[in-house]
Amino acid sequence: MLWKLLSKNISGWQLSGYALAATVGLAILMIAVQFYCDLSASWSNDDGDIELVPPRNMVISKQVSMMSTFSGGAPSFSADEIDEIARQPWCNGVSAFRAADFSVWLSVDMGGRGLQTAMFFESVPDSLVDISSRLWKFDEAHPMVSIVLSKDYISLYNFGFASSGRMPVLSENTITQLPLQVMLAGNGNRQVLPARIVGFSSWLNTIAVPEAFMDWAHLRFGSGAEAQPSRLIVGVTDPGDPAIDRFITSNDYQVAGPDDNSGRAGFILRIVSTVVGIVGLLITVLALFILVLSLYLLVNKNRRTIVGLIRIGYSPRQVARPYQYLIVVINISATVVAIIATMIARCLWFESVVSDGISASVWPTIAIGGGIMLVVTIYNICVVRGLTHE
Amino acid sequence: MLRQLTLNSVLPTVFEDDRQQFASSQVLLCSVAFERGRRYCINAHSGRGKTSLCNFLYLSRRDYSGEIRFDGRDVRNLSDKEISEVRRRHIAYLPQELELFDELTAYENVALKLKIAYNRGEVWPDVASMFARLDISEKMNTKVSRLSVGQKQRVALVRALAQPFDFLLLDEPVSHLDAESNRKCAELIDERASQLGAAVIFTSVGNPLSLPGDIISLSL
Repeated sequence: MLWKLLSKNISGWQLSGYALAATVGLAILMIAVQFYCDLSASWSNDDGDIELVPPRNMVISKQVSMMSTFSGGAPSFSADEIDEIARQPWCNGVSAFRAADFSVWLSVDMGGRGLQTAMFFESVPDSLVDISSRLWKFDEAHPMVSIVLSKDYISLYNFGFASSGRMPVLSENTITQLPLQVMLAGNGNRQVLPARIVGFSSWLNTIAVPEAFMDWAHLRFGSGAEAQPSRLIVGVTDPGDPAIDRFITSNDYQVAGPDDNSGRAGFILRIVSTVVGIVGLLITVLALFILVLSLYLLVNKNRRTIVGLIRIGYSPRQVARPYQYLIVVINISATVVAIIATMIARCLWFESVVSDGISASVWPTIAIGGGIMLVVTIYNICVVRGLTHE
Repeated sequence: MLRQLTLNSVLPTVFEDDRQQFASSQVLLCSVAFERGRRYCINAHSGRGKTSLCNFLYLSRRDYSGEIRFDGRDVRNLSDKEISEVRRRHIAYLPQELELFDELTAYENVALKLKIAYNRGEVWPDVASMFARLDISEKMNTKVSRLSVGQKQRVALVRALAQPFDFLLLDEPVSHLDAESNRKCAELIDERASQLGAAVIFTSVGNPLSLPGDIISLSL
């Protein structure tokens, strides 16, 4: 009976308009958030191996000029140049690749066919290699050289060398099982050590070994000369910052690694996602205004009934309750539909964006959408309570 | 239980500039107490503030000077919740405007009130017999909008009588009724008020409720 009285003058069109606008606004907002989260998660984990790329790092080097060819060494960074990079507002720290100052040969027995090759080692700060400290270490008492290999090298071997030289193609898993030996020579010393490939990297374009091993090997085999780094790992606060691009170009540096383009794309993605998200939020807020106006109209049209109910003993809270239930039902429905719409939309990009099975959780997006609607609902409930108390 | 309604120098604000005309009033601008279990008739010509007084006592208006106390407590200090409680359990009111909901049937109007007047488990009085005694039983399921003013007045009376109360406030309760209906209403009111031990306060402009027993007549 109470609902029969209070539902009088409810405009189905107004409430439907609100429900539709709130659903669309919330869905747009949630889709923007989820898309951004999925893409960010996918990019920041695009290695997919045991080593995960430290986010927001780029490898920079100098262009190799004809002068460099004649001088015989790779162009390196001076201490002043490193300081200048470190002073840039977008710079979040600079680390150097440290090249081995001794000779390295690697040998491997592949099913009876031995393979030996001269090679090189470099080390980077251990903090940049996200590998368990159990694997990424060096113990002088039981020397074993842990190696992280560039994915590009495996690709070169598998699709270039192996296929043309009738050598077996190797999977990453097989390579980590291979019994390797490295021979180190220099400074009048020579030693053979067992080695093992413990991970792969798509952004570290080198053959990396732990810092502790490099220190130990330099003492035994190194010439003692202080070499200047030819490649730097630069941490950046925002890979999309256009100032980075300007600095790199003006200094004639070059950027390697996956972050050079993805940073810019990420910057654009963030802008687009933010704009879309704001549009969604704006629609949701406008929908809220529609509802508040509808409520004002409804309460004014039903004022005589509301006053009559209060005069026979109903409390303002009891009179407000049916309207509050209506709002809660509409808002929960709008939230559920928006979540379903987001999940359906996610299916459209899931296959192409989330290729490695690494995706962001949907719960933060649901929490954001639910949180907004919770705030909206509480506001609506307070508006109705205020109107019936007047 | 509400035992006493007290008025101390109460005067509707609208008469503030013309206090003289109430010099002889036995209700306004003086102290008067309405006791539970008694019968009061407030007589006055039109425009003397009878309906205003009823609304003050029913706590729906506050535009008065002086003070009204329920069992010694100033009613201006009552909360919304307490006001609802007074209307649900202690004071039943038949307003002159009746204030029925036209879109509901006669019975639904009564039931709407009783649903909040009685707690779960409490037994409702026999509403159908009240309708029958006031000769409107065949109108129980008729929408109020299709009833005559006299029938509406009786429906509103049933609504007031069916709820629990300590004071029954009736604003010109038989203004639209003939003598026979007046008698039947008065009998039912007396019976129900006696059953509850409640007071009856009714206003009249010349067609008073034919309530039996001792009635304290007060002029406004």
